[in-house]
Amino acid sequence: MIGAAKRYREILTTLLMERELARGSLSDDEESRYVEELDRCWWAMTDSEQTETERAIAGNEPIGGPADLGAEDVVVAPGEHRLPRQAA
Amino acid sequence: MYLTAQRVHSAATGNEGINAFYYVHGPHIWQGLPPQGIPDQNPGELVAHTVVIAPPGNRVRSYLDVVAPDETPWAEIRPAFMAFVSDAQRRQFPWVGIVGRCLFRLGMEHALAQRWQREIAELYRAAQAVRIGG
Repeated sequence: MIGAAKRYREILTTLLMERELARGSLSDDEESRYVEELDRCWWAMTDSEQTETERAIAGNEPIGGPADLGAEDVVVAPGEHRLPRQAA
Repeated sequence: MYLTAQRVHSAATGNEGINAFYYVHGPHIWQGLPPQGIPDQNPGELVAHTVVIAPPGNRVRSYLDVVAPDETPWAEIRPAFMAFVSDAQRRQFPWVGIVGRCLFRLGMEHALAQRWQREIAELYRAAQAVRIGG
């Protein structure tokens, strides 16, 4: 399957996000659908793609961000054309 | 359409919450990618908002921006958003990306990035709710 490794990561991300959106867990049916598709993609990968995917998942380090976004909110009323935040 | 959800922290009270805003530009103004200047120079007209922590002056700790034509159904935005997160997830914040005719921007402080999936889910839920409610 062309793009199996990319598709595998997409499905895994979607599964993790869907769990968060559902505040914890999905139904057994939904989980099964994801797992089956993950399996299909996994076995469609080459050995090197599997190794690379395992390495990427195992090395899933926290993502960095700035200590402070440097923005503050502002008042916006319905009908106005103004962003709700600005540089602090 | 410009949808944004932002987590804000009030230094005065110590309270924190997610406020969300829903702007429109008018139906069928554009079909493909958003014209230049949207949302920063032209966010559109605010038609609905959900305010948990009253502005102004609260520190913005995280935000999710979604820009798409007004008529874009949520059934189109959701898979586009998942593809955006999947593509961006190994990068440092802020993330910016276009999937289909949706533009997404996502930023968060380092402290929130340690639990980024949960934070994204909370921002997403707030954005979806204000659009449905609006």
